[in-house]
Amino acid sequence: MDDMNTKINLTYNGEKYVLEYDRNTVRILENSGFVLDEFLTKPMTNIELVFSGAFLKNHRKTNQTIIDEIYKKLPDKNKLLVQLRKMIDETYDSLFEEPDNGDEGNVSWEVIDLSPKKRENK
Amino acid sequence: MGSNRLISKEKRKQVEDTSLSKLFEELCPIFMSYGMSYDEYWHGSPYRAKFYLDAHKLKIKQRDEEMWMQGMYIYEALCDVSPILHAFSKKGTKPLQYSSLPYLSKVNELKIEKDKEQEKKNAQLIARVYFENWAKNTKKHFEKK
Repeated sequence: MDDMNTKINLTYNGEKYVLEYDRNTVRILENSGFVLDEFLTKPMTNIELVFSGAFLKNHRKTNQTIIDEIYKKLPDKNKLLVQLRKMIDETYDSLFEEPDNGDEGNVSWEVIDLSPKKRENK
Repeated sequence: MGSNRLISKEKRKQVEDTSLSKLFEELCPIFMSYGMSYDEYWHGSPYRAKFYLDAHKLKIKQRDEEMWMQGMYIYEALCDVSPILHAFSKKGTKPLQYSSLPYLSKVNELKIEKDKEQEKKNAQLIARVYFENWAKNTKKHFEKK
């Protein structure tokens, strides 16, 4: 049931990226300085680290500069933040007895093509 | 930022008080005891754990039902044998006969009988509808003539 968890699908320079977390990537993220409490209180200061962490599962070899470029081009940072929070929530929410919300998983952010647009010659 | 909490404040507090890594490591052996593999737990889709948890709950329920059934058998056996255990029982008293079939086989038989009855009713209904349609069509046919 790999489709159950929330994912972010995006395309950059013709390459498709599927961003998601598993428990191991959250552990790696914490080893890199991520603190959940801090993320909840000051989300914007941690968002870049959390965003980079989302590449670890499926795109481990992606260069940090590319990740930064993708991050800069993402249009709606608030929506991204909500999505990332949800994805992290899911890694521990599933371990508890009952999720409080019926809206569990199975959500994908829309596919966004962030590839740089070619300038049209006038 | 808009609130997007999937879990309650208490659960959140439980998670916030500890690091996620620590929590995951603590819960890993528990989920492995539910049958989840190490790789699935750490590298698989997080929601898989929920299914293992649900399956574990089902197993507990099944075991509970088995134990209850076993208690029923023991209880019945004791009741059946009780006439001869009585200190003042008459000579020649025999124990009652123990169930010749397991309880669930009777339940299945009842279900099969009910299914058969339903099938019979369905067949009757189909035949009735078919006959009514045939009668209607025949009537129309003669009316036209």
